[in-house]
Parts: sequence; C-alpha cells; structure tokens
Amino acid sequence: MKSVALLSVVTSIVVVGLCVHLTGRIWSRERLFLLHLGRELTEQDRARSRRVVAVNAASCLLGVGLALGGEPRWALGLAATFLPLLPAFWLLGEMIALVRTLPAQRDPARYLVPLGPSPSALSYLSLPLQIASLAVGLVAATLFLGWRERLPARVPLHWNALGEVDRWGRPAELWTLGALMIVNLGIGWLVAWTVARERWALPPADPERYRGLQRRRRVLIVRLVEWVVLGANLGLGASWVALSVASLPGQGAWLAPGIGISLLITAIGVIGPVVAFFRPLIRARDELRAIAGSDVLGTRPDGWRYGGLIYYAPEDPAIFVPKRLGIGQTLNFARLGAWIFLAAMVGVPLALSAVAARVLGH
Amino acid sequence: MSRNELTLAVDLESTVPVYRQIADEIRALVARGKLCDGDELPSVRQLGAMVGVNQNTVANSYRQLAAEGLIELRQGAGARVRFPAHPYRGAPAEGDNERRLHDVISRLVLSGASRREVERILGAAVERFFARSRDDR
Repeated sequence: MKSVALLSVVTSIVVVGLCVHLTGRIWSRERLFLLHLGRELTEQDRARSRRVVAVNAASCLLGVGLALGGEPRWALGLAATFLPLLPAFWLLGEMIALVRTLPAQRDPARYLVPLGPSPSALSYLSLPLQIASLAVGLVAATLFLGWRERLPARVPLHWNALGEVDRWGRPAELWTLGALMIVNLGIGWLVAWTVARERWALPPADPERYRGLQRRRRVLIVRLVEWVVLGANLGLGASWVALSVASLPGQGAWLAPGIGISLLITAIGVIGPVVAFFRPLIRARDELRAIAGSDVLGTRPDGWRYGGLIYYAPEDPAIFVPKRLGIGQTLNFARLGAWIFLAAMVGVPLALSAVAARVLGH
Repeated sequence: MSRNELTLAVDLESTVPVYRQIADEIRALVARGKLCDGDELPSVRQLGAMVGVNQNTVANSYRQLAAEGLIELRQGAGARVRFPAHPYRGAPAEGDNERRLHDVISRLVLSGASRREVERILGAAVERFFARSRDDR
C-alpha cells in the first residue's frame, strides 16, 4: 500500500506541476498566464514566465525525489503538502504582479440588448455526459450494495502519506464517495446556471457573429466542466469499487492496484479535458475580443476596481459577472447576494465538516 | 422578425440617461412596427438584469411609455404594448416638434455641417428609419 501512497503523492505533484507549467509557459506574443495583455510581451514578462517554469520544475523534481526516497517521514510530508502548493502560489504572485503593471482597460459601454429571453442553463448541458456521470455513480453504488453483506464490520478508510491505514470505519461510510459524485454533478450544474445568467449583450458591429461565438464559448466552458466531472466521478467510482472489493475477505491484494488505477483515471480524467479544451476556449475568446473589445459585454466599465480584479457596481443587478481577466465568473460585491453566496461557499463546507467530525467522533 | 432578434441599443456613457434611452428604443420599435399591439415586454426586473441597470431605471422608462399610451403596465411589473389599440398621447406640440428638430440642426451646424450636409444627414436618417420598418414587416 505504501507504493500507492507514493503514487498518489507523485501524481498530485505531477498534476499540479503540469497545470502550472501549461499556465506559466509562453504560448503567444501577447498572452501570459492566460491573460491577454493587449501588447507584446516585454523582457520583464518573459522573465516572469521563466521564473514560474523554473520554480515549478525545481519544486516538482524535489517533490518527486523526496517522495520516491520515502524517508525520513517529514520529507514525505513536505513532498505531499508543501511542494505541490509552492509553484501554484508562486504563479499566483507573478500573475498579480503582472496585472498591476497593466494599464486600466475600459470595457465597451455601448451594446445591444436582445429583448427575447437568453438561452436556458439546460440548453448548455449535454444529455449523454450527464447520463454518463450519473451512470458511473449508479454502477458503483449497485456493486457496493451487492457486496455490502459480505464486508467486515470495519474497513480501512484513510491512509497517510506512508501508506499506513490511519482511519478505520463502518462500510456505510463509503457512501461518502457517492455523495462526492453528486457534489461534482452539482458543481457542473452550478457552472451551467451561472453561464446561462451571463448578460446576453451584443456589440453594434457584427452582432450575429458575436452571438454565435458567444454561444460557442459558453458551450465550451460547460462541456469542459462536464468532462472534468465525468473524469472525477470515474476516479471516485473506481476508488469506491476498489475499496469495497479489497475489504472483502481474502481480497486485500486488490487494494493497491485498485487505488492506483483510480488515481490514474482521476488524473487523466481531470487533466485531459483541460488540455483538450484550452486552445478552443482561448480562440473563441480572442475572436470575441476582436469583434467587440470584450469577450463578454455588459459589465459596467466603472465597476472594475483594483486593476480589474474586483467588480463592485451598485447599479448592476447581476450577482455573477464574467471575469474580466481569465476564464470564469466573479461576484458583483455591491450585491448582498454575492456576500451571501460567498459566506455559503465558505460556511457550508465548514458546517458539513463539523457535523461529519461530530458524527464520526473525531 | 421574431422578438428574440429585437434589440435595444444602450450606451452607459452617453449623456442621455439610460431610462430615456430604453424608452426611446422601445418607442422606435413600436413606430417601426416591430413591436405590435399585445406584445409582451420583459418585466422591469428581467430588463434591468439584461441591460445591467437598476430595475427602478427600467420602471421609469415603462412609466414614461405608459404615460404616452404606448404600453400598459401590468401587475407583477410586466408590460404590454397597447398601440394602436390606445391613441398615442406622447406627440409633441407642433411648435415643440420644430424646436427639437431645430436643436438637432443647430448642433450639426455648430459641428461644421453645411446646409446640404444637414439635409443629407436628416434625409438619410428618415430613409433608414422607414427602410428598417419595411424590411421587418
């Protein structure tokens, strides 16, 4: 089992390292860290990229080396926790420093607003991908129920970085994996809902082409998340099955390969879609910007503060608005709903953890 | 043209207040025959969310249009076009009409336009207004 723990640590280092490398390396003459700068890269920008790539490579090599060395115990802990985070935080720091050097951009204040309703959240979801994600959960749950009677009263539930079991529990606790799958599906639906609530504004020039591109951009975002959810659920399903099978009498040998396979499925399932959708998404955004000067029209030009990082527009009724720099959504901090959402995002997991800890006696 | 393809032009940085821009755009759509008697308009809340302005701003626009008899406000903050079922009450007095046109001409002249250019600009605007109305019927 120690080999699986090491594989898990190495996988997390490699996954984070690959993401940081793809984000940090130079892809084009006007873009760095996913941000379109509106100017050519300077030597200072290139140096930022070099620093991120170098810190990331050094951190990954050190992390993998420490993990494979396996001893002493603190070294493995360092590899499992600190080293995957260091390059990610370094990238974030360089990104913030870069944004601070950019001149304040003004979003277009002139746009057309369609009088008809904008496409619903359901119209962005893919039925086959939703069914596939649900089916993975149902298959894993059905298999688990089939083995349920033969499982011992206590099954291993958690391992430390050295591969030693550090928590045992009732087999029913394995339902947590099913709950996580539902949470993943919920995240996918939340993304579709927020994308559908983006303002459907069009530029005065070439509105029909913009409408088509905007639709494509939104579908790509939702599809990316749906594939990541499917990949993550496949990994969770495989873990659920592996833990169940390996807990059956005389089947302990299945644990290490089972967990190893589930880790591999999760890594491929999460990174694969990100790599596949990255370029089409960036291309769609660039085409939208070429037409309208913005990939999503309709935010108030005076609402963007602190270099465009924070949106605070009391006049704008929207709670979710598209991020000005980078892909995704941010909140309109002038709305009470935004603060309630933020509090819920922080408070609900904390409350659930507290309840779970109380129920499980930790 | 379906209602899904109808658009309102908004300029958040214009000197014309947004509530007036919305009212002007809806009035123009009715005048061109794109919005007809009985057509539903989005609720003030929906339109406020679409334009990106407070719903009171849209409510002001709707109240102005209702005062002109162009739309009827409905319970639940919706609205419906009531033209030509109701007589239009927003027509400016004859003198007022001319004063407004003279104001536009003055601004064009002060910007350096000659008489011939003023005639061309006004003529083209009239032509475009009716051409769009014809295309969409």
